[in-house]
Amino acid sequence: MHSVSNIPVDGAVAADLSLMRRVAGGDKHAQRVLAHRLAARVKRISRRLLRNGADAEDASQLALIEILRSAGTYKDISSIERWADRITVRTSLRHAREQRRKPWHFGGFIDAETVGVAPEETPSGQSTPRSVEEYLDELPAARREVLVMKHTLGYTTEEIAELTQNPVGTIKDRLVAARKQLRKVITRDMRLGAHGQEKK
Amino acid sequence: MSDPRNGYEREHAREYERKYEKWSALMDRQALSEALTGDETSFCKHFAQEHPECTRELEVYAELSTLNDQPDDVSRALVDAALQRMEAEDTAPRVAEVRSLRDNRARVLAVASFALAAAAVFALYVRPSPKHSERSDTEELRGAQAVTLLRAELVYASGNVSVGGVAATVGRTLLAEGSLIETGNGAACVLIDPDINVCLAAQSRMRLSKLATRARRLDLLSGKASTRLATQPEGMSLSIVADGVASTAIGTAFSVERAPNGEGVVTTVLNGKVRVGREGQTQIVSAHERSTVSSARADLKPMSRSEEAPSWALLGPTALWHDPVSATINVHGEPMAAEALLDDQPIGMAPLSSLIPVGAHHLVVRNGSGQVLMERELHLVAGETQEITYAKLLETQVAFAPKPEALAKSSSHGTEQSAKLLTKEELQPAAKAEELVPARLSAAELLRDARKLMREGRFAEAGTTYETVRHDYPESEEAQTVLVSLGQMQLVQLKDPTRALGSLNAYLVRGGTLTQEARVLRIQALAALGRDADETSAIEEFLAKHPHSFETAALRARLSSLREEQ
Repeated sequence: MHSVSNIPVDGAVAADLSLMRRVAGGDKHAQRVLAHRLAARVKRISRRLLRNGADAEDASQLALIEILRSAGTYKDISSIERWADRITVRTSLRHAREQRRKPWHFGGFIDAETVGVAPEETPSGQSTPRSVEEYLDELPAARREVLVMKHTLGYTTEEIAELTQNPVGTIKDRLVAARKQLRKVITRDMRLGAHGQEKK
Repeated sequence: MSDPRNGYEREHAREYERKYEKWSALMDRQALSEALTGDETSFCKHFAQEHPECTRELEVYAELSTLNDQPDDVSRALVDAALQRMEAEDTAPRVAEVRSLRDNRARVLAVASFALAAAAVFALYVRPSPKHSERSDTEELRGAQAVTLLRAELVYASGNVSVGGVAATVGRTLLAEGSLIETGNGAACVLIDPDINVCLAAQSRMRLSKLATRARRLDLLSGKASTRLATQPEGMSLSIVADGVASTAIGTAFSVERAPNGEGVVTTVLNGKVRVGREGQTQIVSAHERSTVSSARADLKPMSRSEEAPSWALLGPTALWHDPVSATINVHGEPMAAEALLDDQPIGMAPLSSLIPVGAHHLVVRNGSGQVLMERELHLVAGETQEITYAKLLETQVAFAPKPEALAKSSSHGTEQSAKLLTKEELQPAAKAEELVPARLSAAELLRDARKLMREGRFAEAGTTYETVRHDYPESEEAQTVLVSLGQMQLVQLKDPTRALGSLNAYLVRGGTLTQEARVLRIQALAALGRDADETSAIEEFLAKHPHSFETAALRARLSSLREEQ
């Protein structure tokens, strides 16, 4: 008996198992079918978890490859999507950690030729409501990740603790801190008349 | 007198704040999966309906909980990119695996040695039946093969040599099954256990197709390969396959060459015997014979010594690593394709990377006209890697450089500096002896060269040039400031934060005009190493010492992020 809401019904379970076995066996067609089924989901989860678009793109590619390579480990205790979500989260968080450890640049010094390009300017004077991604961009990485895992993926604090290898207490603190920070941004936007202009 | 309406508004505002805080706290508790009472749920519902900021917050969470997983053009492109990348990773030699293999080699060998030793001890105590003994011997042989066949190593690289498309140097490159080795204008040699030397001529490509089997197979995709191997364990063989023609030998020396324009495969046997041919149609080729197999015919003819000589020459460098107590030299600089001579013997074209015996050696690098670009005494210890850089002659130096014949004379005098042995007559034009050796570049010139190499993306050479400044001008100001440039390059271009940290720490001992920049780079190096606590301390120190720096804002943000993660 499956307890997760998006578990497929019996016939679909058998079809999914068969698909995953073919993927694990190296069937190129099956790999493509599975990749198409999951790509959009993988891409959007990575994008929600990671602030930097390029990092998210890399992470989603790595996650999709990891999913295809791990097909042999799939068991029908959850849907393919939910199983793939965990791989996507793990891969994205690992990628984010690696990126954070890469050298980061300031303004030019020593040798201008070796300094990275300046970040793109952000558009100003927007008056339309922000998207969820824009709100998430206001949060530090650790809070953002917890918020997405909780509210987008529906994970429990225990599951998030396991995935991020942090104590449950830390996850709870981060979740509440993330919600408070998001609330501040929302109320500030409301007072400013959406985003950028003082409300009259 | 105060307006009673203001008092009412203040009270109303306080009441709102109190209720908003209550609503927020209840919503957060709900997010932590805590159950709310009926009254609390009712309060939340009604309060949110009356207050747009609450409604907006609920809308944001509703949007956050929705994940549109419908395919679009971007996700389709992602599928194509991921599948292509996966295929490329599956088929190409895995450089990462090679590195991992290198890292694990010692451990694997230690474990394997232990396992074999344990098996030997076990064998002393257990007296097996003859049948059992036979099986054990076979199994032990298999186990031994699995260990001894693990190592294939690039031991010589002259000119442009790559492994799996990545420029390769000796001493860092263990080769995995499937590795593709390509040579440019020089040569490359691979040493495969047990004692198989395979050397590739210029413009050749070879894949190590099968190593972990009894029938090892190397595929010559283009060019020429020569091999010399010791007598192999019984039942094991080595084949070089070119265009479907296999040349298989046990304990011999031979070369295989793909003739140009698809005119067949030429096998030259230098020692022993080789079985040559396509499946089912083979012939035995003996020493000093040459076989040519094409789709139309199979020829066999005897060879003179001079015909054999080029194949032996290709195996010439194998003498350099005959003694396993070896060190590595990497010779590079400008111009490329300069010839290197070790103890008066040509050893190949630069860039050159090779194992060589430990001890004292005399190294000379000369250009195509025979002019000496660099001359150095080497004292190598086992396992050491020495980077050796040479530079092209300045225009003013070209006129005074020794002629090749003069070099030949000087070289015959062993370790003496060549310039000191030249006579005026040997010079062109006449000049003082001390003017003959290429003038040592000044620190400023070396820095200029290093910057040029950086611009050209030749980071390893730039690093060596920076090191040369340190080595040749240890007391100069440049020797100190170059540490920051070196540290930055090691960190950013060479992705080696450990070495970068060493350079930057060395700079900061004395400090200088680049102290602030060095501190920032040091912080970056610590970040790259994942040393969060040290990075935090370094940022705190930076902010205390440079509170008005251009980087302060970015560093404060980084510090905040680090503290949050800790």
